[in-house]
Formats: sequence, C-alpha cells, structure tokens
Amino acid sequence: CASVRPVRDANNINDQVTFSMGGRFGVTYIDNGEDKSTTGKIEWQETRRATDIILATPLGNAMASLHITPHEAVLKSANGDMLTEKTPEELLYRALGYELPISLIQQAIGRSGQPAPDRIGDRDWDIAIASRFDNGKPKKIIAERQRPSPLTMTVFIDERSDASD
Amino acid sequence: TPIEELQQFNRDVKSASGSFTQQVLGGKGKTSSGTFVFARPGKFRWTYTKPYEQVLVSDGKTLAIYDKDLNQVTKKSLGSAIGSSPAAVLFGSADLSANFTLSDAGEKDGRSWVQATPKSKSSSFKKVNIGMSNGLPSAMELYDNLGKVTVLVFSGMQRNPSVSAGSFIFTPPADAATAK
Repeated sequence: CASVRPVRDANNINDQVTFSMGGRFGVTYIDNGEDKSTTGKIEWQETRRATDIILATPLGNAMASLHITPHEAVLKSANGDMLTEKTPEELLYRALGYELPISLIQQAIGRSGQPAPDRIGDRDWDIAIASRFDNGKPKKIIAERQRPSPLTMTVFIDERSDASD
Repeated sequence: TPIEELQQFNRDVKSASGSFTQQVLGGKGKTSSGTFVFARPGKFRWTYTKPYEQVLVSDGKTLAIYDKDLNQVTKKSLGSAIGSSPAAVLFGSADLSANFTLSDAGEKDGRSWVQATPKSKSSSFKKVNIGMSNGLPSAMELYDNLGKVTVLVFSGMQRNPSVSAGSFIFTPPADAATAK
C-alpha cells in the first residue's frame, strides 16, 4: 500500500515528523458487569519530541486528540474539555474510565528503523503482533489484560510511513 | 433556494440508496468508499468496501458497527445522539431545523450549499455543509471541533427505492466478538 510521506509537524514546525500512521482501533471491555465496546479511526504522528494521536468516529469525526511528550499527556476532546496527566494511560483512564496501554502499543508499533519484537507486555498487559506488512512492520496489534477487568484493544494499521522502508 | 431543496428532500425522500466516497480534507489517509441505504427516521446501512470492510447498521435505536479486520462488533444505543449527528442531516427525522440552524452557503464545484450548524452545544462537530445538485444532496463536508474536515461525495442516489426490512437489521458473522 502507498506509504504516507512524513511532513513537517503542524504545531512545532521545526520538528520533522519522524513517523506517521493511520488505521482503526477497537476496544472491548467490561463496565460494571456489562460487556461494552467502542471503535473508530486512529491517526498517529511522531516527531522527535512528541506523539500526536487523533481518535475519530468511524465516519471520521475527531472525538479526541492526544499530545504526548516525555513529561506529560494532554487530551483535547470534541466537546472542548482539556485534560492533562503525567502519562497517556492516566489521561485516558480519567477521560474514558478505562485505561488503554498507549505506551506499550507505541513500543509494539516499532519506531522507524527498529524491528518490533513479537511479544511485549508488563504485569497487566500482554501485547501481540497479529499481522505484519511485507517488510515485517506490525500491521495488527492486540493488547489484552485480565486485571482489574478484562479489556482488549485492537489496532489495525491501514498505512504507515515506514511501510516500504 | 438550496435550503428549500434540502428541506424538501428531507420531507419527500423517505428512503434512498447510493454510493459514497469519503476523504479527510488535507489528511494523509486514503479515500474510502462504499454504498449506503437509509430510511427515515434514523435507519441506515453504511457499508465501507474499500480500503477495508466495515459496516454500520442502525435500526433507528441501536447502531451496530462490524469491522472485519478488527473482528469486532460494536453496539451503541443511539438515543438522542442520532438527532444531532452528521448522519442525522441526511437520514434523520424530516424536520432538520429542530436540531440545526440552516444557512445558505453559496455555490461551489457546481453545487449549491447549505450550512447546518447543530443547535445543541454538546454536539461533537462544529457544522456540516451539504452540497445540493438537482434536488439531491451530492456532497457533505463535516467540520469537527478539532479542526478536521471529512468530505463525503455521493453518487447514483436512488430516491425512495424499495428497501427490504432486513436492510437495517444487523446479523453478526459467526466468529466476531460481540459486545454491546
């Protein structure tokens, strides 16, 4: 598939975009005993200093944007709220009521030039690469946890800027 | 005027079917495309065929989304959400002005445009522009609150086709993980 050429990062113009990707995400989780799920489109862009993620509805309406730097994570939502936390995990827990393993998924995606290992995880999360692009770069990533309650996040990358590296 | 044309479309066209393309303005993503069928109020089947397979089915009460690659079915109760969502401009109840402020947005690429601004303050998007050509919406521009614009172009729109009852019922494929 046609790879996405990195362009200058919009908010800090001197930062060259080092990596970008677009795809879809799905989350299934339990909310006080009930099976719940959500799905949408995800756009992801990295520069040397920050990662910017847009979560949109399947029809493309942006629901929230995340600006993540090593020191903090800022979320702007479609209805104008703005939240800041230390990590993207704390930020999304506050915004959604459940945690999404953004940092582990970022490792799983694999930076340009770094091969992504097959299995990544920590005490709670188990991240698996379910499929790859022809050049070995991850395409479908499934993050699962059982504690404190079962949650699965699937990211399917439709295009990534290093797809033909 | 384009506003009258859109309101007449909402009144007279009880159901419609056709094809669409969808692209984010200035976005890096590829164009997606597929087919749609809808019946007022709030029933629709929106099928993406390229570059991936995904279907959104609403019976007016519940929206079901099935994504083949994610192998997931998502169900959401629409409640009032359908009323002020971009889809409502096309498939919603007949009276648009209940949920939207309509204004004339002039001529562009051979279409005469109507701007629909949601009346509810908590709506997730800023406005929708609807491009009319010979009495039918042939394009829509969705301006969300985070600066993204999604452009939909419709083609081959059939007015009031015979729509089977099953069109708006979602039957999950056997192996998909289903969760409400």
